[in-house]
This record gives sequence, C-alpha cells and structure tokens, in this order.
Amino acid sequence: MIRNIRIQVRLLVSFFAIAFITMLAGLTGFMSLRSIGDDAVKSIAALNVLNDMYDYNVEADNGIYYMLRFRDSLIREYLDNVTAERIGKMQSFMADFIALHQSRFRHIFTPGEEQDMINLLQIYNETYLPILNEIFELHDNGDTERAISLYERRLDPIYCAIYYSVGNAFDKVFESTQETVSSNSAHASASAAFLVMMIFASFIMAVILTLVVTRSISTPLEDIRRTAEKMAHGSLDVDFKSGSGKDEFSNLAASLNETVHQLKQVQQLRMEAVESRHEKEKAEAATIAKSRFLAKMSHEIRTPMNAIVGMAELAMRENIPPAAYDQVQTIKQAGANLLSIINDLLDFSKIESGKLDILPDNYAFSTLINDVTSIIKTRIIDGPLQFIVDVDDNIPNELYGDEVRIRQVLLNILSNAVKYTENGHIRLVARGETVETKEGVSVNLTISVTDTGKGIRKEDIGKLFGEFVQVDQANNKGIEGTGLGLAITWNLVKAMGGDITVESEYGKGSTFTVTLQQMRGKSDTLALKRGARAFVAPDAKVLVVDDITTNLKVASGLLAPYSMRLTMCESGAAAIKAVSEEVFDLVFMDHMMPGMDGIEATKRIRELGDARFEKLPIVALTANAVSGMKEMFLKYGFNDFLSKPIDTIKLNMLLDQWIPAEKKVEAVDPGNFKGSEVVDIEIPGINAKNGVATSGGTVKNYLQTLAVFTKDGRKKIDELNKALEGDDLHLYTTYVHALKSAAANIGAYRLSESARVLESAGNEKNREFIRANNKRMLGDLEAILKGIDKYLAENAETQSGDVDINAVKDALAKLNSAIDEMNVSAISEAVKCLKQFTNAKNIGAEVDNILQNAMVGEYDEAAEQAEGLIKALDGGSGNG
Amino acid sequence: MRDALTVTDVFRWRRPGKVVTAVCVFLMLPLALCLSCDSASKQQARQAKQQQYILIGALFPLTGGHCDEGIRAFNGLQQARSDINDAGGVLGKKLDIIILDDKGDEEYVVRQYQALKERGVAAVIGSSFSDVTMALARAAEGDGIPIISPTATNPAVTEGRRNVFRVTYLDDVQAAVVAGFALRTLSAKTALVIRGDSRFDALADVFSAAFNEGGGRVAGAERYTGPAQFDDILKKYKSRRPDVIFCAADYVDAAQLAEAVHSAGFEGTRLLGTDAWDGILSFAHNIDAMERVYYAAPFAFDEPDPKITRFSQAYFDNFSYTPISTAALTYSAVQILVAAMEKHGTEAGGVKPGSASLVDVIRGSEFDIITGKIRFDENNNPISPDSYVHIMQIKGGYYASVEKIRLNGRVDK
Repeated sequence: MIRNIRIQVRLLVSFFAIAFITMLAGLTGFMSLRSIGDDAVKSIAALNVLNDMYDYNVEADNGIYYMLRFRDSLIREYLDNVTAERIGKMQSFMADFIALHQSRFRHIFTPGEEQDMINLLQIYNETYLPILNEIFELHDNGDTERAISLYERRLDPIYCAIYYSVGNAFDKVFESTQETVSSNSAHASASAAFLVMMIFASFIMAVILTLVVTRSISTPLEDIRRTAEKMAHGSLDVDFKSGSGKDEFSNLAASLNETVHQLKQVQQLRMEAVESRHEKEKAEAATIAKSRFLAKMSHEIRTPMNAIVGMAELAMRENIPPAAYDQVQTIKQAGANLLSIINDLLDFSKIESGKLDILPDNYAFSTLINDVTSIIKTRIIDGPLQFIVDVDDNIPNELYGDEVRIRQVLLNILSNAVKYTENGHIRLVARGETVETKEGVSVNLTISVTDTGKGIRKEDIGKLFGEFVQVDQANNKGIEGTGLGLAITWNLVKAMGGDITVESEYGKGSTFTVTLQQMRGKSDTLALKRGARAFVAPDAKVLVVDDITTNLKVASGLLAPYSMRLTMCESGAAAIKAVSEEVFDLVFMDHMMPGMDGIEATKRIRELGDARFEKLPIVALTANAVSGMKEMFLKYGFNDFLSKPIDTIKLNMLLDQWIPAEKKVEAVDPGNFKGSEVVDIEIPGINAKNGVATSGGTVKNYLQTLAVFTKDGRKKIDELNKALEGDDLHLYTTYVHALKSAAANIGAYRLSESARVLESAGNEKNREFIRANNKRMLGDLEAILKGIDKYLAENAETQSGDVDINAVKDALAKLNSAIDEMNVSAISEAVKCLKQFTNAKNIGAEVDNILQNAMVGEYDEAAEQAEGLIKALDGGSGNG
Repeated sequence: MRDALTVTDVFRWRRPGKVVTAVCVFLMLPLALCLSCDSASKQQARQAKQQQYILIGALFPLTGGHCDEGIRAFNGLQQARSDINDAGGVLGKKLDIIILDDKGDEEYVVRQYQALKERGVAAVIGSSFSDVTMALARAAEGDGIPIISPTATNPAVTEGRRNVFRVTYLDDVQAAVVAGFALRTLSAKTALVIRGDSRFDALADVFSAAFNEGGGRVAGAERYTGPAQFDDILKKYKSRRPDVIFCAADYVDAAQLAEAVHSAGFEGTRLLGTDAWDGILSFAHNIDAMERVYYAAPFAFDEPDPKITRFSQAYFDNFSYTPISTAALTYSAVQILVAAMEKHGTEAGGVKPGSASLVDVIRGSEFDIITGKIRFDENNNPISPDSYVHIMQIKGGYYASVEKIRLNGRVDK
C-alpha cells in the first residue's frame, strides 16, 4: 500500500503531519493559557473594583464619623476636597461593577443579586447622598448633634446595607475567582497534560512515521543492496524484489532486474566468445603450424624441383632418342605442374599465416590485361575454345593497386575457366566506374570471367572458395590442381578490399565476378616509373635476337621511342656474328629459337674471349613467365630477364638500368610514353586495342606490326605445312610457339590460344590432335591475315600518315564550294569524304575541327578554316 | 516468485493500513479536544445554573421618605436569601429574590409589580405600608400570585383577596394591647389621642375605646396635618398633662412628637404607638426625648427565643444594627413562602408560578416563623395564639422590650 506512494510524497506527508500536530499542540496550549490568563485578569479586575468600592465606602464613612465626632473643620475641608471625589468614584465604581457584573458575572450572581447592586446604586444616589448633604448642612450650621444623630440613625444603616452587599459581592467574586483560579489551575494542568500528551503524540507519531517511512525506504534499499551484494560476489542469478508498488524502488528494482537480465545475456555472450576465441586460437595455432610446415616443405621441395625442371629442359635440348625426349618432357611437364602446385601452397600458407601483404603501386591497367590475356591465350591456342576479351574504354589506364596480386587473381580465375571448359568460349569482361572520393578519384572495377564450361552445382557453390576443394570430382577426373586456387583468389580479393562472386548453371557454365576498388594512379608518376625516367639514347646500340619477325617488329616498336640504333637478328648464330662485328650496348636474346637457342647463343658470346663480351648486357626474352626463371637465366650468363609479351614498364626500367648513362639524353617529348591511343580499328578475331597496347602503345606502331604480321603469317603457313608434312614435330612446335606469341602481340588471342594448344600438342607429340586442328588454326590465321589486309588496304591512305595532300585539298575545296552553294547533300558528301582524314598526320585535328563546325551548321567558320588549311597545305607541301 | 512473508513484509504490506488509521486518530484527537473545550458548553452550564433558581419578587420603598423602612426590609430579604440558600435552598434549588424599589408610591408600585411579573417571579413580598400594599394587592388581584406584606396593618389590604397575606398583626389588636399596657403597667388614667390623616382613624378609635373601657379617660382627641402642629396641640394640654399620649401616626411623625413633648416639658407623660413607630430612632435627634416612647411591635430582637436570638445576632453581624419588626417580618414572609413552596413542590415536582395552589397552600398551612407559629384566617390575617405583642421602649437610645402580651391577653414580662 505505502509502496504505491512515492517517497517524496511519503516524506512530505509525514513532515506535514508532524508539523501539523506540533502546531496544533502549540495552538491549543496557547489558547488554554490565554483563556486562563483572561479569566484571572477579569476576576482580579472585578475584585479590584469591589475592593475600591469597599475601601472608599469605609473611608468616606470614617471621614464623616470623625468630622462629626471631633467637630473638626479641617476634616470637613478634607471631606469636601477628597470625599466628594471619592464618592464620585464610588458611583462610577458601582456603575462599573454593574456593567462588569452584567457582562462577566452573570454566572456568579443571581438576577436578584444583580438587581441588588442596581438598587444599592440607586439608594446611594437618592438616599445616601441627600442624607449626607443634610449632615454636612447641619454640621456647617453648627447643629452637630442633629448631624450626628442623622448620621447614626439614618446614614450609617444605609452605609451598612451597602457595605453588606458590596462585601457579599466581593465574597462571591473572590470565591468565583478562587474557583476560577482553581479551575484554571486544573485547566492549566489539564492543558499542560494535554500539551504533554500532544507532544508525546507527535513524538510517537514522528517515531511511527519515521519508522514507517524510513523502513519503507530502507527495507527495499536493503533488499536491493543485499541483492546487489550477491551480484558483486558474482552471482547473476538474482531477483530484485520489485513488489507490486509503484514507487521509485519498484521502478528501480524493475530496471535493475532488466539490467541483470541484460548482464546475463552479456555474460553468456562473453563466455561463448571466450570459448569460441579459445577454439579459434587453437585452430589458428594449428593453422599456423600447418602453414609453417607447408612453407618449409614447399621451400624444401621447390629448390630441387627447379633443378628437375631446369635439367629436364636442358636434357631435352640434347640430342637424345625420341622416347627419352618424351620421358624427359613428361618429367619437365610434371615438374612444372608440381612447381605450380607448390607455388599455390606457398601463397596459401602465406595467406593462412597472415603474411600476405598487399603492396599497392601505380600500374597500367592495359598492361595488366595484356599480360593476363597473353598468358591465357597461350593455354587455349590449340583448343576449340574462343577467348573473348571485352575491356571498357572508360577504365583509366593509370591505376594504383597491387598489380601482381590482381594479375594472380585474374590468372587463377581464367585458368580455372580454361581448365573446366572444353568447348565454347571464355569471356573476360572488365568494366570500370569512376567515382570521386575524398582521397581522390577511385575506380570501381568489375571484372568478370564467363565460361561455357561444366558449371557448378548449386550445392557446391558455397564451398567453392574453400581450401583444397575440387567440386564435382566424379565428373572432373583428370583435372589437376590442388584445389587451392579459388581459396587463394578469394583471400587475395578480400585482402584488397574487394569481393568475388560466382554465378553458375550446372552444365552450362559459370561466371566469376571480381569487384575491386582501385585508386586512380598519377599519370606522371606512372610515366616516370615506366621509364624510371624518360630518356632517349640516339647513340646507344641495341641488338634484338628473335627467330620470329613479328616479335622483332614488336621489339623495334617498343624500343622506337628511345630513338636507339637497333639491329635485328633472326637466329643465335647471326647474333654471335653481329656481336663480334659491332659493339652493342645491350642485347635482347630470345630463349626458344630453332637451332641455337638463346641460352646457347649467350654462352657462346660469353666465350668469345674478349672482356667486352663478358660484360655485354644480355637480357633474356621468354614467354615462360614461371617464377624461378630469372634465377635460371642469370645462372646461364644472362644479365636480366624480360618476359613476353613485353611489358613496357619493365622494358623501360631495364633499359634505364643497362643503357650506359652517358648515352642517355633527357626525353624532349614525354608524350611518347603515354598509354594507348584511341583505337578505332576493327578486324575480326583481333582485339586491336590490346594489340596497340602490346605493340608500344601507338596505332602507328601497331599498324606497322600488323603489316609485318601479314607478311610473316603467310610465310608461317607454308612453314607449318612443310614441317607437318615432314613429320618434324619439334620444328612444328617451334613455329607454332612463335605464332602463338606473335598472334598474342597483335591481339589475336584466339589464334594465339589455338597456337598454344597446338604447341602443347606438339610438345606432347600428339600428332593426331595436331593434324585435326592445324587446318582450322591455319584457317583462322588466314582469315585474320585477310582481315588485316583488308583493313590496311582500306585505311592505307589515312593511316599511312603521309596522306595524299591533294585529296585532302580536293575534299576541302569540295566542302567550300558546297558551303558556298549551300548544297546540303554536297556538304554531307564532302564531310563523309573528309572524315577519312581526321587521323591524318599533322592535319587530323584541324580536319576534325572543320568537320565539327560543318556538322553543327557553323558553315562560315568551317569554310574559313578549310580555306586556311588549304593554304597551309600549300605552304607545307612547298616545304616538304 | 516472492519468498515466504517475513516480519518486515508483514509490517510493510499489512501494517500501513493501521498506521494510517492511527495517524488519522492522532490528527483528529486534538481537534476533538478543542471542540470539547468550546465556550458554548460553558454557556449551557450557565443557563442550567440560572434555571436552578427559584425567583420571588419584593417591592419596598428603597428611596423616598420611608426608605429607612425599605432598607430594613431589604436587609431582611438579603438575610433570608442568604440563610435559606445556606440551608440548602428551595426544592433543591437556590432561592433568588429580585427586590425592586416602589418609592412608597401607589402608582409606581404597580409598574414595578408588572416588571416583576415579566421576570417570572413565583410570589411577591411587599410592601411596607398599607396604602401602597393596597395598590399592589389590587394590581395583583387577578394574577393569583401570592402577595405577602410583612407590615401592612390595615385590615382592608387582605380582606376579600385570597392571594394577599399579611404577617404583622392588625391595627386594632395592637391598639388594644397598647391601651391595656398603658392602663395596667403605666397606671395611666388620662390619655391624649392624636391622629394624623384618616388612615389612622380606626387605630385611634380602637385605642380610645379600649382605654376608656379599661377604666381610663381619654382627656382629649386631636388631629394634626403636619408635625409642626404638635407644639400647638401640646400647649393646649400643658396645664392638664395627660398620663399618656397615643399617637396614631408613623415613626417619622412620632419621632417629632416625642421631641415636641420633650421640649414642651411634659414630664411623666408617656408616648404610646403601634408597630408603625418601629424604627423611630432613625429620626431621633434627642435621645433623651425618646426615653418616654412605648409602642407595640410583633417582634422584639431581645426576646429570649433561640430562633430570634440567632436571627438577631446574624442581622447585627451583617448590618451592624439590631433588627426591628420590619426586617424580622420581611424575613418571616420569605420563610412562609419558602415553606409553602416546599410543601407544594413536593407534590408537583416543582413550583408552578402563579398557580392558585401555592396560595391555597399558604392559606391552609401553619408556618413556623421567627415570631412563632402562625396560620392565616379567612381574611389572610395571621392567627398566632402562642405569639406575643411586644411593648418596646427606647432606652438610652436603643430599642428594648418592656413587656410581651400574648394575643389571648396574657401578659408575660
């Protein structure tokens, strides 16, 4: 009940109740005492009046008596002066008394007694005083005897009557006063007793209220404290008794109960967390141990494996019986597979032990895509697979991120696609969305790889990125792999802050989509990095050795911006000859060449006997971008190593390192080192954009490369056919290998891939496969060559750079006259004609400008510019 | 779940109800006590006290020429009230007497009687003289309120009035007693009879007849209109001085007559009067002149009767003077009323003011008063066979009884 009342209210009510009782006690005491005092004062006033009456009566009577008895005139005088006054007072006293009597002493005096006082006053006035006057008169007249007689016989009896009544009244008042006093005394003691009782009552009540209120506060507080103490000792299994009240404590208890409930949950969660952390730590410790073991073992295995693979490669170059060659090749192939597995394991162990570091840096996206596609194409070159690359033009070329890891991710996904796809196609699509962020411009990359392979069962998609997982193993027998690829991929993507998803329909194919956010790189930084520093070296002499003319062309294209003096050789022997005849600053030596390969040639150059041959920087060129290669080449006497397709950045760094400093001149036009130009070349089977990127970044170079490729390609068709007819698989494989990289260089990835497949078939001595697929591959090659021819023929004029100035002038003139005549169809005809010159050297931009104006209706402007250009061309031709 | 109830729980959950009640009681207690102390209750007590009085009225000349008589009656009433209340009151109640001044005026007395009636008196005592009492009796005739006059001697006052009583003896009784005293004790042979106004004719006649009858001789009969004539009358009888002079007049005139007789040198001549002379000393200037005064009175303070002695002693204590008839008879009148009320009230449980029955009780009862046992005759005159008529004499300036004569004629000394 009392718990329904709020504490504040309880305290207030108690306080006011105590205060009220105390106040009441005080008030009652005050009133009692006041009434006691009042009664006493009134009684004493009445007694005073009576006493005065009595006194004056006696005095007056005595005065008269003495006056008469002693016949003293002095007394008479005195009586005249004083007694008369006293008599007057007597009258007023009596009147006062009557008034007092009537107002105050009705309870003492009876109506008769009251009337007596009135009578006495009357007697006094009407009888006593006249007689007194008579006495005075008699006295004054000397008739003292009569006066005495009158006094004794008449005045005195009246005086006695008055005396009696006043005395009586006095007695009564006195008695009443005594009664009043005694009753007041009783009253006072009653009041005092009452007061004491009240004080006691208020004390008792204060005690009770204090007990009740404090207990109503302290008991629940004590409950709460006790319960809280239990809690403090660690027990959460407590209940704060909230009761059914509505006061603060009930609310507090309810809140505390809720808190306890929450604490219990928190405690449970924490215990679970501790348990799970414990288990996680155990698991992590196990994982770390495993990873360390793996790392150790991988390292221990890798070193001899390098030797095995290297030695197998060397053995294959020896003149050994074909059966042994096959066995050695198998050893090499198996070794390579094993190495790849070990690499995967190493990566994975790094990931697991948390040592996987993401090292972001500026890089060229185009190069990344090129590298990846090149490698993948080599794998599918001889299969029926189509590899389609679709890269969004809007993706900035300069990005900032960990290129190595992104490359690894893409290669993994693509390798997987290749592994599980037998027919159809694989599509690599890259899309980018540029976003402004606080840190700068970032690019949200979405790279997806779609294949038409076996697909993944729905139930397997979940475990796809798990470790050592190869789903649907029943249908994938014969497919090698550790099953770590996707796990590594997943971890890498996550480490880079990206995501990877997979959609798949079993039996129809899968799509892996990687989303990554890369910052936009600084182009100058990139440019600088590409060339370490941009330079030209007109006096430097460089020798490029490659058995494939396309590759030579590519190399010359790539080296062109450096304005160096280039010498090309198509074989190792030619290279030795060239080196001994001329002093070169740097030699690029292809690894795999028919006859004398790069390693042999280098070895011989070093053995030529002059110190300069020993110091001559020789850089290995190879398409086998397997880790550990560099070490191998260095061992064989090479100074450095450059993988094909050639990365311009690496090339630039390499040149910067090996070209003597005194021959390097600061580049005047760093624009030469820009990324890809706008590519508007459409040739079936060729990704021109990528081709441009791989052939030095300029369309001009690319077109020249294409031209060389057509010549080379026709020659290659004959050579391949011949090698096949002569059953020289080794030769065939070499040619196919060359074709593989040449095709990749120009962006003919499908062709490249087909070549790769045939190359590996050649390596495997799979004559049947080669015979079955060679023709198709050659057909593809033929088609591409035709496409290139056609394109080159169509764009010969414009793309040559040396445009027919007269044709331009004609077109401009036509446009001018059409504008003059305001012949719309003629204008559009002229515009169409002029369009082919928009890429023309020197004047392309101006032509474009004119076209823009013409197309938007600014004919006067267009005409004026056309006129100006014609004049300029006249002047230019004069100079040229 | 709640645990089992603990003591604390019980206290907390159950007790508050009682505690709250206790608090309320504590709050109400002082209020109740305050209310009980209220003055309204005091007033009620006062009213109750007033109702405990039995009121009777009294009408006497407290002012005017006969105020001395009125004041003596006043004193007698005061003493009666005091004595009766000291003895326990009337019917368990206090007796209260409202005394009003009638100024000795026949008209004024009627007004004052009305005032008394309005105040609800049960009976009226008064007045001193027959003429005023007559007026009062007439006014009270139809009211049935008992009217008792202590000293009205005229037979006509009570005649034919059931409710009007007198305590003193009739004039003729006294006159006869005085005549006998003169003849017997004073051995008077001749008497001069002087009378004032016609009121005293009967008295003078009764004396003359009795004196003559007893063997004396009324030598002369004189009438005066004012005391100044006394000298002239006395001159006429200087040569033949009578043994006694009977003067039918009141004590004021009597005092002057005594002075005049003294001055006239009538040595040996005694002055005789009735109880109308009681109080003569009030107007006495020459004490020696008073030595020859003899008068009849129904009361003598020095009568060796314990009742009288007690009364007289008390009166003297209160008023410093010895009581004379007026005081005693007034006192007796109160005694009669109180006794009648006691007798009447026992039956009815209370006094019925104005009821005829109280008058009947007075008429039909015998009363033991100071002067002896009396009852009233058909004319409401006192019959008191054992009572005396006292002959008072002034000796040395004080009243003194000389002789007492039973109403049946026997003389005690």
